[in-house]
Amino acid sequence: MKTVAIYSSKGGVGKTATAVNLAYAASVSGQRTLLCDMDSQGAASYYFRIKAKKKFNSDKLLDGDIARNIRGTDFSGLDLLPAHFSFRNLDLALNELSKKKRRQALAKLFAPFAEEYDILFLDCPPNLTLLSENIIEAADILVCPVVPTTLSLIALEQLLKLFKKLNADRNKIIAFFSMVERRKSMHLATMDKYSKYPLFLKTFIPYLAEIEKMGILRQPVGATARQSPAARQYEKLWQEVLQRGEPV
Amino acid sequence: MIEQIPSSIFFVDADFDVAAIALRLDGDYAVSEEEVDRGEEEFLDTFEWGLYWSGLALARRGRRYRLFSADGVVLGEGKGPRRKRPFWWDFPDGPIRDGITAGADIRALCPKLRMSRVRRSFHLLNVDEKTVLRLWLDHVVVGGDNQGPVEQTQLRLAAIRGYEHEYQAVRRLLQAEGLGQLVDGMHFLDPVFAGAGITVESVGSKTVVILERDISMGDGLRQVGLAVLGDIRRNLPGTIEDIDTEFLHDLRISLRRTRSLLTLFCKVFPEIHCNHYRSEFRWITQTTGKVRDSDVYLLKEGEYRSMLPASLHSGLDGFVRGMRAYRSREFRAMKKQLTSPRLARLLKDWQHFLENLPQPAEVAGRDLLCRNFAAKAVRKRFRKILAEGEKLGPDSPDTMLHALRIEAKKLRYLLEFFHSLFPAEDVILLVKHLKKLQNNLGDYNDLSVQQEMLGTFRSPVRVEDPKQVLVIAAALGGLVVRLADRQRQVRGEFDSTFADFSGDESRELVQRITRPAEDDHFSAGEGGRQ
Ligand SMILES: Nc1ncnc2c1ncn2[C@@H]1O[C@H](COP(=O)(O)OP(=O)(O)OP(=O)(O)O)[C@@H](O)[C@H]1O
Ligand SMILES: [Mg+2]
Repeated sequence: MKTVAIYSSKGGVGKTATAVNLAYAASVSGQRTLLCDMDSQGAASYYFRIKAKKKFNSDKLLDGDIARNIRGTDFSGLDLLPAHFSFRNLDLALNELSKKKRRQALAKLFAPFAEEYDILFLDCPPNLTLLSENIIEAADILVCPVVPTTLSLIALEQLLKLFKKLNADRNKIIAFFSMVERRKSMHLATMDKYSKYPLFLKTFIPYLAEIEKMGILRQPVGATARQSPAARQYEKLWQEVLQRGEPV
Repeated sequence: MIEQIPSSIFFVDADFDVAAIALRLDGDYAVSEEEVDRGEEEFLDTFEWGLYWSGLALARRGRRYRLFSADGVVLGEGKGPRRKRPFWWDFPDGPIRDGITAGADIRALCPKLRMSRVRRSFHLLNVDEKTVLRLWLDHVVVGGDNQGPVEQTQLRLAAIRGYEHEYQAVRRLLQAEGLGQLVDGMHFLDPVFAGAGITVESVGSKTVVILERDISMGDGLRQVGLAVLGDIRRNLPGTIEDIDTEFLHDLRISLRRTRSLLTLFCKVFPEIHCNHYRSEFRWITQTTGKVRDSDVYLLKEGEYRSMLPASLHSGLDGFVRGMRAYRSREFRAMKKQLTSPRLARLLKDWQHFLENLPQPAEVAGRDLLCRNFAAKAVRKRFRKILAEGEKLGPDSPDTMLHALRIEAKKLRYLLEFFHSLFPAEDVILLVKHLKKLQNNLGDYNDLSVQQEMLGTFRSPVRVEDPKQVLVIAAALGGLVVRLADRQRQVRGEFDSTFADFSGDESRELVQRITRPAEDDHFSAGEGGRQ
């Protein structure tokens, strides 16, 4: 099982849109896929119309009571662990664990699913906390959407710093440009300047009405129209992520 | 741990209303119809229903194949081979190929059942319009046996992980309606087969004969003979059509068993003229030998390849091409004999002969109970094996091993013919021991036949390039060396294999198996009654 976290400390950069559509692309290509909604806002769960069971919460999650809270999406080969409101306290809960367990907690939780799934996606909340450290530990690949603006790049720099502090493998980080608007000269200039860094993938995701509409249609773009530009772009992105993450 | 997704199948009327399910559930639900799929479908299986018995079903429509598990779940789907009767190795890599390999083995997958099918797919949606249960309504029409077309409708439910509650609710609803259900362990095609009058035979290559405990010798021999004749007849068409190599293999087994039985007949009924049948069955067995031999080499292609360095692989290819050409020539010759009036007459006469065997009363003074007769034969054969095996030393000639192999085979046949008259567990154990001995002797023999054949093989295809001739010779030479090594090893294992077989355990088993019926308090009466 390969663990792919979609992460940025900045909000609204397209993390959830990426997690949902990459997970869908992975399952369509035959990979048994589990998407974990780690964000208490539950946006990914919302896109799949899935609510957590009443008895589920962050304590259950940390106790490893995960298997029976996983739910099947409408798409074969794609399951989801829905978010719960209580996930907002995950940080506090992690903090209460002993120092030794603290940073590995998440990685341990998902280890039992290694046989059942080929790919595990984590849709992460926008912050830089103990939970982020856990995610970095657990992930084989950290996919960071970057809107080609200065603010968004700062978030990426923060992440690189955190990696240094944790002494983690920087090669795990894969960045790509998200919500790209060709009309905006600032977007083009930023991309021009940064795309030469190997950290960035060639594929980027443009700003598309189709992706915005996911909020109304509540399904991955590929499920609405397999051959739409947005769906094809996410498929391309997934292929490139896989290629890049190959020698893990 | 991998979660099992529950599913179930209900038998419903053709006009079953799936949408109505939503209305009768507590809570806010709706049923949406997703798609309708209609077409002619063909189910494939091996001659002996290898897929069915491994809990599978393989369907195809044109070149699109679909593999199902026994409970109707689709395990794999995709494009497959065009040929009418494909083998597992004709399929591209994927779940279908992986799924059928063990069940199909080296047998061809033949069309067994054609049906036209309408499959409607439905989703049960909750308030959020999330799919919480999948349903399929399958309406099939099968050409019936003699009662005309058979129609059947099945409703299949497949739970979605995390929504088992809805699955259970719908199940309860359908059960409350009194609908019939496919029970655990049943194959989803069973009801269709039953309706269409198709019987799935459980027979392997050999029909298992169950004899009555106190059957007379004549009746027992007749029943076994007729069963083996049935095996010959069953495998003949597939051999002639050249569907797969197992038909011929099994045909040859039943021919050899017939010949072995004939030897028994000759002893029991010396007044009957057996020589005609002996020579005729020898003739037909021999006409099938060369094709079977070439099948064996062709089946070993992969094994041979792994024995040779890559540099000699092209030589092996040349050999395989030659062997194929040889086989097709020999096959034509064999087919001529198998379709000849001479064979048809032989089988007909043989059946007549068996059906009119003299009654035991007419051959007085012998063991009239089949059980006693069989026991005596087993005892004698076993003693002979012990005696011959003990004479064998490290330098004994191959002919002695060969003779022992034949004796072991005869004992095996006896145990198979009459197993139902003996204590079951003892026979199974003895056969297990015997098999080990037979494997050793069989391997030894196969290896010497292979070396002989590879050393002298002349390809019927002309090889123009003298270099190629050399490469082929080098490959065959390489194989002969490897096979000779292996053969020495097998020979070295003979002593301990034989010691195991001839030990106390086998002796006791034989004693128990062949204990005379008079000592047996379960016996219904004296051997000589009637
Ligand atoms: N490529 C895109 N084109 C158009 N709209 C997009 C695109 N990507 C995301 N959006 C929209 O932008 C909004 C924010 O996206 P998304 O929720 O994926 O970001 P996020 O990083 O997960 O946010 P948060 O940090 O709040 O979790 C959503 O309304 C989404 O539909
Ligand atoms: Mg989000």
